[in-house]
Amino acid sequence: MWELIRQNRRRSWLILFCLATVLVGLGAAIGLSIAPPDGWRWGVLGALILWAVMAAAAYSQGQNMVLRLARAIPVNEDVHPVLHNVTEEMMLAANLPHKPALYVTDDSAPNAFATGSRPNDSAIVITAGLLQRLNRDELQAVVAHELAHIVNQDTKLMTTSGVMLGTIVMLSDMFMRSMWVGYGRSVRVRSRSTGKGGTHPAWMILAVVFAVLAPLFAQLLHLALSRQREYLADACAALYTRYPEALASALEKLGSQRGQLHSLNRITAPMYIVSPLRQLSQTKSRSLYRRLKGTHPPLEERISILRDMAGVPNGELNLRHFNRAYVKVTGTRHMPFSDLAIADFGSVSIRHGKPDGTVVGEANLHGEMDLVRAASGFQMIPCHCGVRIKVPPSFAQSSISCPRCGSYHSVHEVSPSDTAALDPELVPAPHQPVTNVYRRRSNGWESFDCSCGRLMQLSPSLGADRLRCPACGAVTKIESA
Amino acid sequence: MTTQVIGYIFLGGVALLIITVIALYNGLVGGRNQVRNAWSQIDVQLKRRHDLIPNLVETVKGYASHESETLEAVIAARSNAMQASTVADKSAQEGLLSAALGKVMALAEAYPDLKANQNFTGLQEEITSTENRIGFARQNYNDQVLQFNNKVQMFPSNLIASTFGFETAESFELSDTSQSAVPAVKF
Repeated sequence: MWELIRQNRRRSWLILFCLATVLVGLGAAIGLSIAPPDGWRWGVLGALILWAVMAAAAYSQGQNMVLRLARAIPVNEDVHPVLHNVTEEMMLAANLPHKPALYVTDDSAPNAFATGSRPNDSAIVITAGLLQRLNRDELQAVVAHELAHIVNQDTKLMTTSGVMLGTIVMLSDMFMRSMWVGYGRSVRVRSRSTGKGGTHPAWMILAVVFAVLAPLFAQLLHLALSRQREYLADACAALYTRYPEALASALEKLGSQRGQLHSLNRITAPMYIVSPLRQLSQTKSRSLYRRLKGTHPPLEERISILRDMAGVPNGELNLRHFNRAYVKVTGTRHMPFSDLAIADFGSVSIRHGKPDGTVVGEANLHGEMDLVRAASGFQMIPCHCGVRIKVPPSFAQSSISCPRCGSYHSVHEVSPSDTAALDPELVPAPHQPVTNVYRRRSNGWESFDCSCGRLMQLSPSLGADRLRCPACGAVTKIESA
Repeated sequence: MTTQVIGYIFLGGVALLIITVIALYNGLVGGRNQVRNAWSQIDVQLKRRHDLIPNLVETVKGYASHESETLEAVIAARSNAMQASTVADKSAQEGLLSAALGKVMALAEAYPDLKANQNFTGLQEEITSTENRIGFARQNYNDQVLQFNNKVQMFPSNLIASTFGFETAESFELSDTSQSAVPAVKF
């Protein structure tokens, strides 16, 4: 893992270097516009001084402010032994000698974050909502993800990047403000000095362009860095636990019950495991704008990648698989890790989860949502593939096709009996023929492409022998391994 | 002039070479220390399990006094494991202890009073966690061994390794399948 960390550090240094270039460039442009042609030196100096001041402020405050913002309550072993045990197990797997302090916030929205830039100063905060909803394995996967952030020193990295971003924004802001005030002053300056000074239109225009573009560019860089580190933490968590399905199902539970975090703050948002900002990540849109402006990668992509990792043929797990899964799901060749790092690390074998996952808290939310639907007059039709089809009361037709396997079920006035749904004569009608055949490689999660190009994921608990593509409607027959 | 320049370049090259050798050597030393540290972590977790067992036996005795055979078996297995010295012996004895412990946890099924006892549920969580920790410590040990062995075998650090006598470490493989049976702590 050390090679991976070193490799990721190198890439992160590159992004930081780009940010620093933007900062210095902005300073130079501003300096040039005020006092050409040597003014750029003063501009750069000013920018660096401002950066140093902001960095000092950010690093000195460190952890306490973040914890106070989140209203975090320390948790000791007597109160929640499972959390502590799970953390210590992951510390062994991650080879982390210092145990982070554990906190809980009284928030019903499930989320978690890690903080701390020095090894013996780190902390993990988990919301009560998350503790209620996840079972032991899933909680362990979330803790592994947060520990990965600590091991990779992501908070220090994001703080540095954030400080640079803040400095750039501030510089740009100050400059734009001073521009509107500066015209009057420039006349006085010219009359005082012998010919130097005053504003020069060409440099001014350049500086204005820089001042407008720099904050945007810097923000994109900062967010790109944040997303890259999230993927890294996901991959590390899968490797520590040797059980990517745990993190995948934890993320799924987190995704379906987002809610609004009470102590929400745009500044602390990037550090959470799942973006607490509703508008940016609950949308399924893959538009470039959303992707670029998100602090976290899209949740379904993260889940798909993890599940793809889980379905590797002979249970061998390594970063190459994560990479391949990433490329397959996102369809891009933009790789978070380099091949050199992956070659160094080698493979580890995957673990198969225990079938019964005891829920640490009470809630059975799937049941709760269905309860609401049943109360609203929805009809529940169980299909033999495992799906429970929920038919709204306004549904007018006499039969409905299952969204997963495509078989037809008749919709009755009264609640249907199970035998009606399991009627073997209700097979896909002739106008829904089987277009593809897919042969299973294992009994776990697998993914394959429909003929229309859509990625389909095959669950181990699918009860039917066919799967309907949600995009084009074609039915693929599944043959067992 | 040119001989002077060539001389400087030569010196620079030698310096670079020395620095590289030092860096590679330190990397090997660090890797070997990580392997040793990871091995001792396994020992720490095994000892933790040894320490939990007396408390467990006392708790179970209070409710299931007829099951003396199973309880004595686990106590005997524990003392055997604590006395084992060689690596092979230790791994064998710890495997037997796992099996005996599994039997004790399984027999608690038949005693609802025992299951309801808070002390017992706390111990049950601790023992599950300890078994997990032993597993993760072994996993970490194997990871460290892998990284160290990569350094020892791959070019160019293999040159340094063979010069200074670094050898590949052995990973912790389970010798036979019976030892890989994890006690099923189901309730």
